Amino acid sequence: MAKKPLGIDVLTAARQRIAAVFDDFPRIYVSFSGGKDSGVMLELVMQEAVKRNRRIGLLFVDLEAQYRLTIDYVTQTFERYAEHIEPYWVALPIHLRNAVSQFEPQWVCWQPGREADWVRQPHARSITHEGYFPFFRRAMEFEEFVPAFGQWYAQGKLCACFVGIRSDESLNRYRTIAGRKSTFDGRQWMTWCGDHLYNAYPIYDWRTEDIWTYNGRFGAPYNKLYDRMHQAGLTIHQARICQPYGDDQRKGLWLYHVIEPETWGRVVARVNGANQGALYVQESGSVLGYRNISKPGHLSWRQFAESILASMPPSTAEHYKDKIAVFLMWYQKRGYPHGIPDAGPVADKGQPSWTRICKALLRNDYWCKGLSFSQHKTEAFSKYQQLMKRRRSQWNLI
Amino acid sequence: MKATLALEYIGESQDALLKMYSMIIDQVKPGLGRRVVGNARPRKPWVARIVGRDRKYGWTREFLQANWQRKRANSTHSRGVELWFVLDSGNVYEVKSPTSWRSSDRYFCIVNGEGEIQRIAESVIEQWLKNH
Repeated sequence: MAKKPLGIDVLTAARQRIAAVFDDFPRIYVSFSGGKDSGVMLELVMQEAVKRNRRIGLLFVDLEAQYRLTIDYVTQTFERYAEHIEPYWVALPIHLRNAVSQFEPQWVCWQPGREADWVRQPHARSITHEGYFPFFRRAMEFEEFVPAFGQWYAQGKLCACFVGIRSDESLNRYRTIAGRKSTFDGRQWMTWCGDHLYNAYPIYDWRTEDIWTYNGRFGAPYNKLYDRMHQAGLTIHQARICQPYGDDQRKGLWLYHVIEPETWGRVVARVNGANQGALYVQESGSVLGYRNISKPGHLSWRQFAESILASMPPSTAEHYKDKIAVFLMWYQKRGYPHGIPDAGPVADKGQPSWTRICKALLRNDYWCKGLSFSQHKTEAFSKYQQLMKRRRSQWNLI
Repeated sequence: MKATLALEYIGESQDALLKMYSMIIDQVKPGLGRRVVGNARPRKPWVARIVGRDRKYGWTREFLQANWQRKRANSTHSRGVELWFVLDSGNVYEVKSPTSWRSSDRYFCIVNGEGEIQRIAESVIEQWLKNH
């Protein structure tokens, strides 16, 4: 989709979008992460809320092992706008991805029973009672919690959730904005999320420079973690904040001990594999499956995959075998009746090979997105595992 | 302020089959499908904005586009398919909402300043149109 200049600056455009949402939506909340983008967006939204004397929801999902500076900034923000927000600082046991461990490929933040290991104590403002939200189930996925919160917050009325993503951040975010979808009133920067809920992306066309220009020009408060990242040598484009154990986010794990050594000590004890990730995440090749991978010369790619599986904890190996079995069966019915090739390009999703399977295993790509799978929903996952147990015994592929 | 209205499309999968048959017959002779099968989507709910009077149909209507949602549908999609409409305050709407396989509810409504949908009597529409 080609860019169409609007003839106005991005700040004016964002303000117009926010005003349009306030005109149309009776229920509004902001999804806040403590990062620079959602921070600037929150400033703009709150200016409109104060002008109209409206209270809006402010959602912050606290993932426990977060930088102290981020928590300081979030605390400051909740206090600044206390009069105009309905605060939802959520510190509940939620399932999170841990891409740096095969022993604990997922972990639960604020896990009950492990209070002594928690990186820090929940903030006094936070919601810690599991019965607070009627939709909440212990250890539900983060990706399930966020839309469920939106539907709950809507309370049967038209509801908008402001999300501070920008299309130049990644191809996925660009697709979120520009892809084919159900919009609101033809506004491409809004996405229907089902039922009463729409996501709004008012700063979708901002660049990183625009974010910092806004902060500099208007003196807006921001997360001081970015100053530390700058001091550590990161460019403004590299400096990003998110829970650093995800599949993509783990690349920034080496920064943690540089920026906040006092928190890092507790993170290592809490999140399985964090130290290993920090040590090796910068490596390319077979260590964590970045870019080109290689195998021992005396093994085929299939044998290499089997040896990797044999070295994994049994539960993780079984999980991967389920995925690989589906992958093999799918291609067996589509042009590869005698099995997929042993070697092949790792980046071409149209060509199956054991090389691709090895890459997924080395990357610890738990949901096997590199093999074109998507993430399961929690409630469906145990049924899926039972189903796959039956199927694998019938297929006898791996 | 705006509001959303969800209407269940009862028998969507059956209607889709009818539409397919109609299109197949049309390939034999254009227009024949509709004559044989009839209205291909007789149960489909709708929401229309009333924009004036019409001699033939009573009111001049502008039908709204809906977002389709199937996450609560049953396995055959005969029940649970939902059509979601966005209604705006400052307009009056007519709604056809199926209540069972054979019957449906028809009513007029507006959206108030709080973003809530309120039913209104047909008798007040004329006056309402004059005022807005």
